[in-house]
Amino acid sequence: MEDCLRLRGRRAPDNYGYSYHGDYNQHVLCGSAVSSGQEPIKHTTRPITTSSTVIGLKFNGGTIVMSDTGVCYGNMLRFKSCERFCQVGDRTVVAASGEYSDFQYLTRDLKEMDTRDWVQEDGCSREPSSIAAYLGRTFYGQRSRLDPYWNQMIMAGWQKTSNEPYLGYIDLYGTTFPEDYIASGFGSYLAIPLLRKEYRPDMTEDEAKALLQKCFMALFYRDCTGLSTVQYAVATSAGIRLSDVSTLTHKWDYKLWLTPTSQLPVSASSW
Amino acid sequence: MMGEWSSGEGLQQHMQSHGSVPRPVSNPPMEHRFMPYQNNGGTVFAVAGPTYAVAMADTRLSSGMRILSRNTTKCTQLTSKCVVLTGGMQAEMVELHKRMKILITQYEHAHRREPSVNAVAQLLSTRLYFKRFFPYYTFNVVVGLDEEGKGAVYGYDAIGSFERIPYVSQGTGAELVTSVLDNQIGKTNQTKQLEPLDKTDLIDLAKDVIAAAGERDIYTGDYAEVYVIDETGVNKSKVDLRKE
Amino acid sequence: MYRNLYDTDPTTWSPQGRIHQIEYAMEAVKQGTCVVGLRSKTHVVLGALKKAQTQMSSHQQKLYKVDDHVGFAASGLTADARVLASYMRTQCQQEKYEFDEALPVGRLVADVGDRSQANTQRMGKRPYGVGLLVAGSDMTGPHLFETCPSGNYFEYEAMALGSRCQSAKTYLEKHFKTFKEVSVDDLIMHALKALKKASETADDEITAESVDIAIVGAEQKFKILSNEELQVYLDRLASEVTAAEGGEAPMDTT
Repeated sequence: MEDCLRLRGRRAPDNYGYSYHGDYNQHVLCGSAVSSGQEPIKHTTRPITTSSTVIGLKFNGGTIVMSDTGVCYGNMLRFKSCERFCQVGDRTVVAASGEYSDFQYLTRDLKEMDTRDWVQEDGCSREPSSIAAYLGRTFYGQRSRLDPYWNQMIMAGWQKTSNEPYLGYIDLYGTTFPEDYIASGFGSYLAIPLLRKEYRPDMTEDEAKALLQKCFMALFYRDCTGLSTVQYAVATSAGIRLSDVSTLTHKWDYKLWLTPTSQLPVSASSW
Repeated sequence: MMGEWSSGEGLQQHMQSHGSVPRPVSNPPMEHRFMPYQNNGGTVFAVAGPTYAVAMADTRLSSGMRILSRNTTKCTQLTSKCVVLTGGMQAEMVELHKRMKILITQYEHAHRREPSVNAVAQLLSTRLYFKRFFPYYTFNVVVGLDEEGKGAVYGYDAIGSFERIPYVSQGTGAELVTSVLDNQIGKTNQTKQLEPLDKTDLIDLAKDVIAAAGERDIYTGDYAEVYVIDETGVNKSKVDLRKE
Repeated sequence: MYRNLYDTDPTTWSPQGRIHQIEYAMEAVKQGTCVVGLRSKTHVVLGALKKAQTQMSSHQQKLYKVDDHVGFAASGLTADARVLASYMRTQCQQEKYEFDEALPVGRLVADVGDRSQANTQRMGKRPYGVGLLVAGSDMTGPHLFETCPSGNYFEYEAMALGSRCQSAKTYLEKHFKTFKEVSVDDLIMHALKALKKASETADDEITAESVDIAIVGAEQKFKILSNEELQVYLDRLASEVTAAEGGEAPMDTT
């Protein structure tokens, strides 16, 4: 029967720590997670290769999510052109911050799920909210094994049945909720104040994009792991549009910044 | 970037990298461990009346000092006259509520009627205790109308201890709320005999109480969901709270 | 005396290329009382004739609610129907838990098909002796499916199963082209009329006790009508029959 379940667009229940007849595997909680006579099972105890901010917001007629393209190894900006978006189906896109390898694994998982749905050929496709619920269960299942997927995911999409935009958040604990605007990583500190000040639900797509670019400029100037190359995805009733990578225009030749501090009056530091 | 490392690690690293305090040879190897719990804050409470019950929960969702969401519910309607409200960790709340809904659907299939409020209350206790050694980090209130049509309120701890009481509050603002409810509903420390509150007064009091909690508790605020459960069923409304 | 050598288990083929155990199971479906299903643009209605084993017993259950958006009518072995009901409920709850969404009806039916098929290919197993008419509503609209013990399943506009279902089928075949546009009330009436055709051949009357009707639609959770609700339609049926017979008083059925 397990094979049948897989074919029907679902994985075996054990994968998300839930089985209808049983419950969470409580054995993972009883101290050492060592399988019989084998190497100790290794859990993710800290992220290694990480990406930072993703910001998403709903505008009038759609949702936009933006991220930069940087991925760090510790404090080193190790990879500078990584795509952090994963499109699932025809109207959902997931953007991730946090451990990049976990994101790549989840990308594969989501794509597989999408394929399993597609082979049904029954015209049913998953709503973004439904994919968010699935990711929420997946993240919660892993955290309950004390081996979390170390990510914060922001997902954008278009809800077909209610005909409205969707924006949702999922994190390593399994926290899930929909919101009007969400920022992850360093953006949850630096971008949220900007969004609170300038966000309106009736923004046009261009206004929304401009606001996100403004946020990413602030992040580029202040977040040492931030990059000026960004990419964004837009979800509307027409589907998903993933942009090319573009570079934000930035400016460093302010007079105060060019003058050596020693030559400045004491009161004129740059902040 | 993300502050989910185990506590104390930063200090140890600091000491090692500066080399000023050599690590004693007997020190056990430093262990990193993922902490599976977080408190997302929020206040929930409920008061039972003679033929009705009132329940409230704010909708703020916090993580550390950040507000993640201003509009995320802590309540789930389980039957036509029963609601569960949960403070603590949001991910666990989602899981627990989903599981409760599944179990109640199974009950309905088996018995061809919905469970009574005290059956739901007992079920929640059993679920919580089932995870006694890896508890749900949730603080629950079950509220509804019992089989006699009386308001019923049940309060829980995280591992399933529960009791039916006239009023209860849970979550980060619980202490603030409890003291007012003790005074106004429990009539403790009153010098003269006070009349019990009627339904409208009780709802107004409840709104004031959650607003007051929102003024003093940083994890409580934004909006409050108000549930009034009476013979007409579950009536839901929303009030504004402080947004900072 | 002739004895069939090839029908003792479902893993043996007959030289004619048949698997007799499956065919016997398909026959079991025809032993049950008649059930009908019919679909409009918005709703699906299921109807069933119920039998009481003896006068002292209650009527058997023919309609099963699986979830808010889906249910079925069964003909054949009731015990097998109950097992499948439990399985289908599990599948729907699993989907709700995982995806916060109702399981599409077609996928639920495919699950039942796969499970039934597995029973036809294992030594020591027997096929389910029950056929289901599955009615449900999902994001692609209302659906009516039939499942067979063989593992086959088909989608229909209208269908009838069980003993003496042929007369019900004849009725449905005559009218199904009009079903798409009719109201829920009329759809229920069509179901009752089809059931009436089947019960007439058995010289039975249809009453609120001997009939079950369920409806489901996009805005309508799966609901089995109560006797009182059903009586309204039965009264309408009786008056329509009277009118058709030229306004005579209804036949005394005591």
